[in-house]
Amino acid sequence: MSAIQAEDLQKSFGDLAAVDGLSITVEAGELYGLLGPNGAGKTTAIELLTGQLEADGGSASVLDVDPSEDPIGVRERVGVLPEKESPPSFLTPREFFDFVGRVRGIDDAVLDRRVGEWAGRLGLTEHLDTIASDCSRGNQQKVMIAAAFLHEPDAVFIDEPLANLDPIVQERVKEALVDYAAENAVVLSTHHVEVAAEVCTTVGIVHNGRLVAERTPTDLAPDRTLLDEFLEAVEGDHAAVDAGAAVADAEPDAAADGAGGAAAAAPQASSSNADAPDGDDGR
Amino acid sequence: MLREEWRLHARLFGGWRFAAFPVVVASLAASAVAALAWAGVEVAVAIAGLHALVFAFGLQTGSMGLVAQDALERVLGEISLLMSTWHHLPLSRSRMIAAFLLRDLVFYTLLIFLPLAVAFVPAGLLYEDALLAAAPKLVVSLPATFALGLATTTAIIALVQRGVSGKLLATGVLAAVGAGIWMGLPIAAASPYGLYADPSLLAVAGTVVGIAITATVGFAGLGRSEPRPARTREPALDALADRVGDERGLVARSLLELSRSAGGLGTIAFSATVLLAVAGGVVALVSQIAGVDPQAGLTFGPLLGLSAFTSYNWLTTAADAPSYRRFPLSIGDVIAAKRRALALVGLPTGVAALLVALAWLGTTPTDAAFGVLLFVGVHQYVGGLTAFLAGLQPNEFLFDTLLFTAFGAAVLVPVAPLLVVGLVVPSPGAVLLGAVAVTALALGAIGTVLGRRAGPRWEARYQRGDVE
Repeated sequence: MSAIQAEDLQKSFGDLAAVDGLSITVEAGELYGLLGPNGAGKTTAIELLTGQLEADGGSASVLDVDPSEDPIGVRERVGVLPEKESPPSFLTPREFFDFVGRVRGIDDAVLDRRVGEWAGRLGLTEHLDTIASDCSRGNQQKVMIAAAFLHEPDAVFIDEPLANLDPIVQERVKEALVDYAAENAVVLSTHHVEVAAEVCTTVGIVHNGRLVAERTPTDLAPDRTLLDEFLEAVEGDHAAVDAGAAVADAEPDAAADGAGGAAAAAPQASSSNADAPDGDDGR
Repeated sequence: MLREEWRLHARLFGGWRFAAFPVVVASLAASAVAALAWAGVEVAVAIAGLHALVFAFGLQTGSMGLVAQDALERVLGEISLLMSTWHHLPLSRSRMIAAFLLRDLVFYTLLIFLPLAVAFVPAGLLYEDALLAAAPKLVVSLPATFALGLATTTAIIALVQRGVSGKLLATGVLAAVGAGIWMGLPIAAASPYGLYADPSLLAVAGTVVGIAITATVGFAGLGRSEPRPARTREPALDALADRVGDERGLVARSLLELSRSAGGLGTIAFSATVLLAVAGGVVALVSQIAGVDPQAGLTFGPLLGLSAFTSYNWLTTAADAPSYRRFPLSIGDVIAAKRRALALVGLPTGVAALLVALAWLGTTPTDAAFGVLLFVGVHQYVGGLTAFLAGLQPNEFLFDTLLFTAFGAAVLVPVAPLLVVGLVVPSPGAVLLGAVAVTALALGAIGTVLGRRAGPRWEARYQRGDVE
């Protein structure tokens, strides 16, 4: 079974369909990019897959665990780097790592070794005993990155990991993600096309809560870039939404039974299908 | 900030639930005033007590200046967009903190003090002209009293943070005021209470000068922004977790966050002290009205038990529920840890405050024992009730009319009869004391059940995305 599977996943907040029929498949050894503009639904998708939110519809399996049935079981097995979060203001990074170690049941000696490795890799060693609120934004982000990997999970969900990092550390983080994805499943949410193109093995383009295209960066036509694909998919989706609205206006019955509307008019997504919004912040 | 505050609460509770809050306050207060008037309580005594309560409320609210200070310190403030972005604005820290507290003053005036003043009108029409005449004066004196309390706390906090000299100065000023009252100087006449009791130039001048001085000291002190090296700490979480038998470190994290936030563990003691002062005021008032010496333990115990709300509030101020949800933890795990931390810091602080008060006032060992029992029972009950109703955001439900009413009723129903026993029964017999003990145990049990049910209730809400 695939490491991560989502089938027709749906989540709405009031009238806003933040995730609207997302279906993706991520295998171990794959670095899957969720690429989309702000508010596309990427963050909500991650929250659904990691059991932080309950889906309104569809199904999902993460490392053979259903996040709706066993949200804590999923979070035991995966790592999560949230987009908008900093370490606890009044703990030091070392204390926060101790907390993570306790919550995740990591042996003290193993934890010390892994903290040392990540701190060295990210240039965090000399800040381990600084109160987090006195750390720079970049160092806070490093702490959050390390915390997501300390238990060496089989699947990791990473939301905009490069924010606030200097170029050197950005390169190190990208290398670390690629290395980690060699044996594990990594889902990277980003709105940076160049980052997705550089590190991802597969990129799902998400817009308005739907997966509108799926591409393999290394397998694009010679005269095409991922940015071209992204713009075409997103702009095509805009046109499809407009067309769908027009169809709905003209043929209310067809739209109501699901035959018309945006989904039917959306451009063909590749393999896994089509539609997933993400909530980075639709809500 | 006012617009931000309105939108925040309207979004949290829905506009009408927020807008209805002053109506509920006015209705409850009007009932209370009418009841006091019907019982023949002297107007002057009731209104003096009201000013004392409002001053204590101001003292308590002023400690929220610590939250404002923390919000300025944090890189990612979550309390207010303006507070968290002040670095980028052409504004001083002092001005931002002043604006933060001024906003509170305006909100509390509109939501609480004006409704309180209006509440005197119906009873005035029904019973006594003096109540009617009091209303317009209270419109001025109550907000001013609150402002003085607010500014006094900020000044004390600012001075205490200045080290030994600041602490000595704060102690000296408080001692001087206390001595002035003891010597019979017209301190009250020169305070905001004087604006009601005897509107005179002395009252106006004393109020303006008092608020101006304390506010200036407070805002200037809290607003000082001196470059400082990044603070470092030796690792303490593991040792603390081991000491309190906290396998997953949740309790230790809560305690460390509380102890390292502005005000630290002192915020818990401060809240208990304010309630102690309120309890003292209530006891004095009832003694004067009823001519009966209240049972200090039976009165102070339940009143101090209410401190569980403020203590839980302080323990959850730094809690960000989503930050726990990245881990294999339920909201129930987090709430249980917060409640355990509450027991670790709130119970000893409250018991200590209670014993100090009882030693000061003098009481029987029986009354003291039942006072402690009641304190523990009510503390456990209020802590569980708060967690059940408000989850990890107790500070945000204060102005939700429905929740506020539910919380108020759920506290009033069991606590009011206990207070009646403590205040008006001169020498409770064995049967009554037995009933008090059973009530205390029952409240503790109910609080425990509510606290346990809080987890699944709030977990479901977070899972649905109803709260962030």
